[in-house]
Amino acid sequence: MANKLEIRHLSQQYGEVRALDDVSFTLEPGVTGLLGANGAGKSTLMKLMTDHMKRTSGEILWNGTDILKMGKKWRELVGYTPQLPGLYDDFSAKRFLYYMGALKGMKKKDIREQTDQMLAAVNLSDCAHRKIGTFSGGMRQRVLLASSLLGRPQVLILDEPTAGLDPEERIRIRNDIADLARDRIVLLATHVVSDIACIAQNVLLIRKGKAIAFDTPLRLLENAEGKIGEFTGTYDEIRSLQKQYPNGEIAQHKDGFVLRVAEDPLPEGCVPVRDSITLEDVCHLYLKGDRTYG
Amino acid sequence: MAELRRLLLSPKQLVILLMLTVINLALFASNCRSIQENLTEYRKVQWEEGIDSAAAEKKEAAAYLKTGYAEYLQYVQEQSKKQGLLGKLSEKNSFITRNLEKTAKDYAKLEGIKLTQGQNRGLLAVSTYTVTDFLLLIAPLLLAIELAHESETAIGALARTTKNGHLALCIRRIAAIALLSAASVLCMYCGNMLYARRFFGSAGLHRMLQSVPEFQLCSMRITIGGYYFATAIIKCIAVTATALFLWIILSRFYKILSWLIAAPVLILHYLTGRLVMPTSSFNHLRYLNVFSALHTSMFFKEYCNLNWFGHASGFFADMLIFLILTLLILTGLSLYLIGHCHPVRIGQKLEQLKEQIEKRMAKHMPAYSVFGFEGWKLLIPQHVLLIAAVFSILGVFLWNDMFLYAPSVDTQKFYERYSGEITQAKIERIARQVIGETNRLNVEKRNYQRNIEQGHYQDAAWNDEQITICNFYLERYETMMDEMISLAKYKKKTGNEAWFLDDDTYEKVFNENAAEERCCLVLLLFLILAFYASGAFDNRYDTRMLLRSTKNGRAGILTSQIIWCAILTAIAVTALHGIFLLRVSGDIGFPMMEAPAQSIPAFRDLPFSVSLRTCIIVLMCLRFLAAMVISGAVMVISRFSKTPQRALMVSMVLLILPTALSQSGILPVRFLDFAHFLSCCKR
Repeated sequence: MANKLEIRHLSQQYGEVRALDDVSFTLEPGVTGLLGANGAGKSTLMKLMTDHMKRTSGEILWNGTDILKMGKKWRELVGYTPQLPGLYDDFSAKRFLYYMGALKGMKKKDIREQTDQMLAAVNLSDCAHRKIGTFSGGMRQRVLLASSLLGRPQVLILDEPTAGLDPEERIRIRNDIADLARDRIVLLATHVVSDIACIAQNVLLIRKGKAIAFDTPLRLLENAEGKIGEFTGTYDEIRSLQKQYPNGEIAQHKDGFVLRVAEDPLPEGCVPVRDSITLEDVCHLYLKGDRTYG
Repeated sequence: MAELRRLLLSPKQLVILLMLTVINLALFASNCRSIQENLTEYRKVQWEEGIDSAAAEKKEAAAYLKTGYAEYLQYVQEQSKKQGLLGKLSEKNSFITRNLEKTAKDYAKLEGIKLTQGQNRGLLAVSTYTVTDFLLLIAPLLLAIELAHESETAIGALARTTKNGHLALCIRRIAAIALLSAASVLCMYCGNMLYARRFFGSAGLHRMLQSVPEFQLCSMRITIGGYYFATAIIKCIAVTATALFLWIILSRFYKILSWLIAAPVLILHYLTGRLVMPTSSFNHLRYLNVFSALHTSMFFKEYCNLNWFGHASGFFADMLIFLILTLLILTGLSLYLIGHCHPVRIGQKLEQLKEQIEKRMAKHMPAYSVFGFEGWKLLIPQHVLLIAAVFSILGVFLWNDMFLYAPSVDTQKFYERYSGEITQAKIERIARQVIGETNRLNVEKRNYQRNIEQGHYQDAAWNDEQITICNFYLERYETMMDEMISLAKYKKKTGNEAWFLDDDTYEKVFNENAAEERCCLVLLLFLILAFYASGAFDNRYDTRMLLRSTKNGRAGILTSQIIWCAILTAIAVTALHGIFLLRVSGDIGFPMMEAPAQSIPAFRDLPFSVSLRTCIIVLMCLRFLAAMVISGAVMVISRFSKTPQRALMVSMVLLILPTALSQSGILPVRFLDFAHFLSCCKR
């Protein structure tokens, strides 16, 4: 039977602010993309899933058992990459992975073996003995990703693992994650929609602490049909139209300027897009107007 | 102004300055108390030998003021004439001849100066206390390091792109270093002056400096007030010059090379100032030295003319010229190299080499357990190993500085004969002995008195001395008998055993002791410096969440950190108090360790029976627990601090500040004296 991680009616309150509001969904092996604006509640959700803070209400069940009851056993199953690259500058990449291996309770032999494998997987073998303080943002991110993979965890919680990576590295990491997700649950939070567009089995959209959509990318794309459209005109016309649709995206085509909008229903004069709807458009549709999105 | 305000009035800078001031004050206060206690102890020992050292000193001082100094001036002139004649015979224009002429001329100016009596001990304490000179350097050097580091960061690059980001900014930063040096001198050196005045009494600022015998060689017409002012200014220039030097080196070279240049240059410069003898042909190196200038008092306690190609030049004037020139050159270099030139650094190859070595070493790195990694984190990246090494050296100096006086032979013999369990027979024997001795001494005393009255002896002072000795012995025997009787009464009343013994050693261990408390202050400092980063280290790098998400990242880390803390604390406590116990037992010895604890006044009220040996063991355990409480408190502060720097500051403010204020007597709140808490001694 496949592993299952159920989130049931999860809520989190910070004083007056409700960071998560009755969120429910179920994760199964494969990549689940978590999309939302800054402050939407993504990191709070991840903190609750890694048992980093006390939840206000709700349940997180691993194969039917609450993770709070599992304690250490749950943390043994989880690999986590935090949003901020929290790494010790004085450690070398290898030493850091050894340390993380020890913290994960791995055997010394396994630590040595897996460290070499993970460093190779994230293309850091050549820099294994360099101090992390000398690493670029992308390299630090890769060290964190390698550390989360140590011990071959059943659940991978990755908070913006591709932030700061160059396009080539991003594709590499994205493919690695897709490979890893074959037999484990991966929750991948990101701002970059293209990171999950091709690898996610499911997408969870969070807005102001609420889960507003949880579905496969295909179904989300289908739902968006007829709600994505384009205005075409001169630059000045498009600029004045954008005042009405501030989340609309301007692009320059060979026949003029285009303003792509996501509205339900589409405004008058806007030509619906049929074949080229992307997950980006879906996000615009669901998350538009949300603070700092896009 | 904004830059000056940013650098000088930042909370961090103010806290550093405040903490240094308070630590300096506490150390100086402790030093003053030690001087006073050592003097009392010395006088006591002298008194036991029948010498009234206080009276002798007074007599000596009066003689110096009355005739001694005038005789010295006369002697200089006579010597000059005598030697001059010899010199003229040999070589007229030699340095020796010129030196003699200059010496005679310098001291001739001092003829007729009015010397007055006053309290000299404060001035001597301030002028001999060199720890302050090193503490003066800390804040300006830290600022220099911070400025050099800042130039490597994005802020440094940003600042250089602005209109005033080159020369104008550099001028302001030089001013900031100079002002901080002045502030350090004002807070610490002047703080010492004020404390010495309060502790020993006013030295009388209007008195001529030569009124103090230790400054007899000073050839300047200067008052004590003038001396204080001049030394403060000189120290200020010396500190500024040192900080500028470090700033230039750190700004122009990569980290390793910069320290490879700065550290040996500064150490060598310091050592030449200390090791080159005043009579050496190379004594220029001794006196034309920034560190010598920092320990300014030598220029007022010594006299020397430097040989400049046969010409004799006063060492004080030469030092001043050297110091001002050094400051001007370093200022110019700072303006040119840091303010004007592009911020290019030299020595990258060494950094690469270091990286290569680290890489090679890392290849053989073992995979530790969580406990091992936490230990490694504490010892290496958090520098506890380095801190421990520094404190070990400091500890050696501190213990060498501790004076222990063994009791006189007479007293020892008495105790050897009678100490031990108190029995009726023993009391009677001691009583007979004491009465016999008392009678004998009374007879002797009467004889001396008669001799004085009858004028049998020419020297009345000798008789006075003998009477004083008799009085002392009488007093001592009476005290011993009283103690015996009191112990017997105590035994009868409580049924507790209490032996008669020399409790002097135990008093040193169990009761307030200046040297020991100063070492406890050092222990307190060590515990803070060792553990201030323990929790904040993870907070600084934002790793807390990542660590907590792992299996052993919660209790595992915490338990390991606590065990390491206990191990290091135990080592520190054992090293500090163990050495103290060894020294005390070696120099004086612990007599009758099997005696009941009630035998010494500190434990008279103890309701249960226990030996002194057990008491010492229990005391050591209590000291360990007290140290663990402090270490724990520092760890808690660290855990909730965002950065190690903040944790250090908070720990210093919460633990060192009240301790230092309490020890220096400024804040009479004894329960906030955490060094005393660490000593677990009865006050």
